[in-house]
Formats: sequence, C-alpha cells, structure tokens
Amino acid sequence: MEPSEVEFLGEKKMVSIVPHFSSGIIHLISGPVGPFRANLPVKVPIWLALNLKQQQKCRILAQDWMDTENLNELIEKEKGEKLFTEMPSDHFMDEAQMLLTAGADDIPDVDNIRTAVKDIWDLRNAKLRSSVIAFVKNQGSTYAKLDHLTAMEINSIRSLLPETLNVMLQIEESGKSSTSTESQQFSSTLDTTHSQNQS
Amino acid sequence: MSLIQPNQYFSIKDILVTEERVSSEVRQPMPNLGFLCSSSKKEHLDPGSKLDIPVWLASSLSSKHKSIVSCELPRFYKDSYKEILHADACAVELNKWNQYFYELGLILPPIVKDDNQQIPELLLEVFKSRFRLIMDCEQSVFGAHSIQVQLTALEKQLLKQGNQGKMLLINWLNKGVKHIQTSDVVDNLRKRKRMEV
Repeated sequence: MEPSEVEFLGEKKMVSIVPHFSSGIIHLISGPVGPFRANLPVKVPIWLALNLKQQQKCRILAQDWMDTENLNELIEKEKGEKLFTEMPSDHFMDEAQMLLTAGADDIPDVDNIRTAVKDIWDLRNAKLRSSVIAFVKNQGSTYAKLDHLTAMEINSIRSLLPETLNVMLQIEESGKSSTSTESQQFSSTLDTTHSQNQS
Repeated sequence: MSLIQPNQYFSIKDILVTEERVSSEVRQPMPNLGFLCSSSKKEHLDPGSKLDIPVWLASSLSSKHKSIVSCELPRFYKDSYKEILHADACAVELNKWNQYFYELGLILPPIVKDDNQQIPELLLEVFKSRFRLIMDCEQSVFGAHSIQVQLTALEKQLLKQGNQGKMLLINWLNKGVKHIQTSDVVDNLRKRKRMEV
C-alpha cells in the first residue's frame, strides 16, 4: 500500500468547514452531507472540504485537536510513556498534511501546528523502529501489540517487517522439517494466515 | 519472496547458491574419474581421497541410500566461525564469507551428515541480530554505504524493499497529494457489459 492510498482512506474523516454558499443536502454513497448555509459551520468529509476549498467556496476549520497547546501536551505524554499513546485520530499525520496544506490561510498558527505534528511523528517513528528491532531480536514472545498505532505508521513498516518475519519463519521451518514434516505443514498454514493479517 | 525454491532448474539464484565448494571424501571407488582430483595422477578415484566439489554435485552424490561421498561443512559454519558470529554478528562482513550465507545454510543439512542440527538455529540467530543493520541502513536512505556492502544478498533484497517503502513515504511527506494509480487487479478486470435492452 502506498502512502497516498492511506491518505485516500484518511480523506473519509470528517472536518468542519464554513461554506460561502447555501445549498440543500447532497446525497452521497457514504451518506448525506449538508445542508449548507452560508457562514454556518458544517461537517463534511475531508475530500469534499479540499474540493470546495479549491473552488474557494469554503473556509476550512482546524480539527479540534489541532492546536499547539494540546499537541505539546501530546508530545510530553508521548515522551513520557514507553508504549505508544493514543492519538486524537487514526490518520493524524495524513489529516494534518492535507488540512494544513490546503487550509494554510484559514487555520491560525499553521507553522507551529505543523512542527508539533512532525515532532510527534518523529517521536513515534523512533519508538516504532526500536520496538520493531526488539521484536525481531527476541522473537520468543511471538506477538506484538499494536495499540494506538495509526494507519500511516503501520504502513511505513509494511515494506520491511512482514518479509523479515517470513524469512525467519522459513529458516525456523527448515530446522524443524528435518525432524518432522507434519509440523512444517502446520507452520506453513500458520504462515498464510499470518501474512493475511499483515496485509 | 522465498529463500530457496527447491528444484528450480533455471533459477539463477539457485545456481549461484550451489556454486559453493565443500570438501568431501570419496567413499566408493570411481573408475576413470581420476582427473577430478588434480593432485593425483591416477586414472581412478580411490575411496578415501579428498575432493572439493560444488554443492550441486555433492547433493546428488550423497543421497541417503548410498552415499558415494561424505561432505564436510564449509568452514564458515564451523565452530570457530560460529563463535565469531555469537560474539557480534553485526561486525562481520558476511558477504565476504558467502553472498548466500542463509540460503546455503538451509540446503546443506541433508547433504552434510555430521552435527548439522544447529545450522538453522545459527542462521536464525545471526539473522535476528543482523536485522538491526538492515533497519539502520533503511533509516538513512542516502548513505550508509559502508554498512550496505556488508550485507548478504538476502539482506540486500530486504533492504531494497524497505527502501522502496521509505522513499514512497518520504516523497509523500514532501510532495503531498499525488494521483493514485489504479491497482493491477482492477485494471485487469473487464468492464461489465451493458445489459441488452
């Protein structure tokens, strides 16, 4: 999966906009949107917000969590804990990327928000990296908890980790196969279910 | 990606892996094959003479039922090298030992009879500890050439995959929205025909 595809999924999240026009309810497959009243905030999916913004038909309001104080608190919390902390959104990185780029002139304090989000991203990335290395190194504990990991982060290790585990499984299997063939079949079925979970 | 595909005749990787020579001892007399052993001028190969033969040949000569030769492990799977790996696998330039260290280790056990039970364990341990190298290398996409040259073919392949994902992510972070490509699966689907009215 490419980052742009993860972003595509993130575009389904809702965001508040202030429209410059009035219109009735628009019926979409994902559900009705609107009604739009000029200057009254309304929640729409991000993709629609971006589109309306391009036509200069609305003003984008920042998500509730997009304010520097809140983000700095999150940074402190993330620094303090060994495990991952909960993020305000499953797609915080892509949402920030889209909204802060498109709505740069609408959202106050854009640069600071962007820096804070990037800080969180870097912190969590470093954490993810070290935990992946630890996970591979002592694979005696054969599972990893992915609580509070966001979609973009999971996607960022997908290019390497599943293949690595695959290789390790194959080496392990070949060690067992000399003793019994039955266990090999068992672990190869395990392997397929495992890779399905990964993708 | 799989480490080894058994019985893939045209697999280049398979050919390269089985190039490695193992030293072996002849068990049964081989008439008219004296030329294989360059040190002796005899016409026939007698039992007991030592030969260096490639793995692909060894695998067919040392089958379970009648082993014509008995093979030894290549030196880098032996105890002295094992200790080096136990000490710190990351510091070893594994690719100088053998480009296909892991793959070779996996096909050797049926060929070499003695104390080969520990090879898969050794490989797993080495791979686990060397995984850090791959991660390090992946992290610094531009550079880390010095680490990169130490990796074996398998590790390089993993690194390449990791790098691809990394580059996509970096590009996305820098450039933002890009057009999403249609996946091949969808592309190959034929359009539904419109129902005849």
